Amino acid sequence: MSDFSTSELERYSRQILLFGRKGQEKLKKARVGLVGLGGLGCPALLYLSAAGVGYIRIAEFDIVECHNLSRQILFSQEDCGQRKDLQAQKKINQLNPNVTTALFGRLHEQNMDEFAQDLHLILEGSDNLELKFFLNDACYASKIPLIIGALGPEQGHVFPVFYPHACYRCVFVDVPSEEIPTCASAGVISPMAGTLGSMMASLAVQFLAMEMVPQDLLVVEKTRWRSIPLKLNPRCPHH
Amino acid sequence: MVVNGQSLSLQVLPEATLVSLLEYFRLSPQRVAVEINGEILPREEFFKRKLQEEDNIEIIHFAGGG
Repeated sequence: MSDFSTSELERYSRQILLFGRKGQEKLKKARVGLVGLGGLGCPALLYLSAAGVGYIRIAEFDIVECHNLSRQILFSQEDCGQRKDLQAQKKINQLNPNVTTALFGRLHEQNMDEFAQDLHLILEGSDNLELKFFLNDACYASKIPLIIGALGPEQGHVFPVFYPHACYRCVFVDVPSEEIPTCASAGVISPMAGTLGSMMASLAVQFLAMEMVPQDLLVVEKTRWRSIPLKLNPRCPHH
Repeated sequence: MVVNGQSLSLQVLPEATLVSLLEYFRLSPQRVAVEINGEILPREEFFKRKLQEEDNIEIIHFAGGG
């Protein structure tokens, strides 16, 4: 059983009301991977840390650029030009010193096993569609729960991939032949990134603390949300 | 029919086809996945799929931003 300090019990008291000390202990013992510290990863990391996830391994290699600041809310003006992962680690240490963050650097196919080692859950918020497919395949094969976030100019989504339920390929099948608009090419509504990143963290916390397995694809489309029940696609190579 | 949770009459489309619906929303078929009545439509059927007023359609964009 984890020991909580008095200040931790005070810090997490509103969550403990909801899912009990046992649930909070599960969060403290949880080991989570986070891919990308962009518009999705920043709010996700803030909420995972504030909620008391004990260990977060961060895969990020980029630096903060000033055009990131409108939506990548971990970072401030003085962070421009600095490494995202280092600045994020400093902010999280200030927010909640009970959280351990580990910096992994760039994630790619060759170091995926090392990244995923001992993790209970991975959140994917990169700006790389190929990486989303790769993580889907790798996590599904190794049965590591995965929450994919994706942001576009018109629509974004949060896609839970929890073996043996439906996976990313059940809906999207394969990397599209056409180039897909990104924040850099087509723009983005900044708070939409916050909405999606926060929802990724919310699903993560509910899964880790209460073992609630999300089974809906959550789609946000400017002023509207909708949830679409995910179903196994018999044409999917994983099923 | 219902498209992305909202009612839409087939009469607004020049033809009762999925291609026509995607054109109505100015969407490239290569940039979306389509679910009709709870089933993901294989990409090879995009260009021959006819639509009916009872159809419930979800158009899900590929999104690569993070």
